[in-house]
Amino acid sequence: MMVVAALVSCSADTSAPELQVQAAISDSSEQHPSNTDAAPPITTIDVNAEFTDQACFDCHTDQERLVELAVEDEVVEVPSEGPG
Amino acid sequence: MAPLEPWQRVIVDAETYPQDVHAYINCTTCHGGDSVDDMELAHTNLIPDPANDLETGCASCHPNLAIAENSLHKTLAGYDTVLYERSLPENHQQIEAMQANHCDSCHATCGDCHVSQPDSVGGGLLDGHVFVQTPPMSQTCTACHGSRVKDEYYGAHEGIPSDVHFRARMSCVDCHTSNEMHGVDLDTNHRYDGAQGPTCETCHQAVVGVGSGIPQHELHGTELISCQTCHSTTYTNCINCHVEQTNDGVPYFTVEEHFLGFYIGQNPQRNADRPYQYVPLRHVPVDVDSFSFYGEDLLPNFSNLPTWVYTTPHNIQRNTPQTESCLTCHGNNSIFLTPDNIALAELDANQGVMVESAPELPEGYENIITGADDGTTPTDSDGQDDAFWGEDTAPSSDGDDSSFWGEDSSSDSSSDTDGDDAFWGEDDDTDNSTTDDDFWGEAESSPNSSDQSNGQESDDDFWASD
Repeated sequence: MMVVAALVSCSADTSAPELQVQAAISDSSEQHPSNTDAAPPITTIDVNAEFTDQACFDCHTDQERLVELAVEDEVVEVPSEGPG
Repeated sequence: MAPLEPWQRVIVDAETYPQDVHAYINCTTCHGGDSVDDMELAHTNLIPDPANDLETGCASCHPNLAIAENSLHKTLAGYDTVLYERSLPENHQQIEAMQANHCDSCHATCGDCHVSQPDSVGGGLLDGHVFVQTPPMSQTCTACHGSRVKDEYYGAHEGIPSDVHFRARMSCVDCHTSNEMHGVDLDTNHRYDGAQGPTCETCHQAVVGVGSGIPQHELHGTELISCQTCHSTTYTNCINCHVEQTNDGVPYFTVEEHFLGFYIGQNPQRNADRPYQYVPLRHVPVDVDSFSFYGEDLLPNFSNLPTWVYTTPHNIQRNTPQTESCLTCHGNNSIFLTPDNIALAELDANQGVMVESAPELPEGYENIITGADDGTTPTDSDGQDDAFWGEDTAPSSDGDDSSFWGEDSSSDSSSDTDGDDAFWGEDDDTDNSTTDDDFWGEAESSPNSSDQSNGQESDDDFWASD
């Protein structure tokens, strides 16, 4: 219900990326014969709701832009010794 | 595994992520922030790991997994259990401060296994933000379970083969179920609390204990010794870890010593779930002064727990010196945790686990002794036996260790990783041994033995789609 409510509140006029509707839920027991745990059930997701966070998607799928914006890690010398 | 570059940690795959069911959810629904072009504005009030708060995160769609909030991977309660037992309540705050700096990076949320790598190896998305139902072992499990489990399982120690289950191309999740990982139906404060998960009997029921037809199993039953007592080999033991911070506040640790060894002792966890009298014991690196940087005398009850602890080494072998001869154990003090193997300062702590002397072979059993009847430990081709008991590498300069390990032919290290990348991750130090039909015989213990014995199809067929 929380997800549906959130999706409803995000209606906007920006175009959504083309998302293919696909059954992404599978029975985990099919993938791991030795693991008989059932796939966890999920609440309803409105697959017809518009995806509106295009700016997030566009930036985070753009390698060049991410490289440009990336904050390089500060090199910190950690004087640990031995197996952790 | 090499840490990811900053941009690699956050790149979303434009082709594959839209196929994921989670792509129907707006980014900001889980991550907060704002969907705008300006990065700073977009990341204001960002929630990097929505899984950190299960109630508002993953459990909002997966309510049955809310219980994972209490899983040992999430809470790291196992650390608290043992540290508090050695300490007093008035020291807990300082111990927690220590943990925040030195232990908590292994705290794992749902996302740390199913979407990204754990923080302990620098984090970063596993597969372009695609949610991975089965976490890749080499990028998630072994990120935290590295120096012991990973090295033992992969056969990273020179001269010691990898675990037979690894050679059978089994990953962690083939034994450790999702229920176990998520803490479902478990009420434990430590990984060795409660019912065993997994158990050897799950797959090897036919060859366990009385009625198996295997003499050693018939004789020892299922409560005298754990399976690992005979079927594991030398493993890493660590001595005296001290934690502190540099002048710049960078946390670090120093392990005084570590070595490969194998010691059988009395089971400190003996109960209905783990009824064994004898088990392998591993030395843990805690010392009475391990946390002195954070306060004085933080472990006043240090001796409340042993420093040689119940262990389940992930280096299982079908044939070991223990399986070769009864006299490898019986009458052989060198394989047991005797007082002379214990530091003086730790004798009190280990009273309950050490063994005064190796049990002698019971009378009447002399006729079933096999192998080295003169009571010496099995020797390698160079006539040395210290390769097993100490840090020396296994014998044989020509790389053929079959004379040491017995008829195990599964030490073949030929490579066979085509199509494996999605499963094994990018770790390039995996042992790529092929499966070994002749090792498993009728392979009652291999989950997909029929596939393996017929000649393996592609890896996708074996592992199914991820």
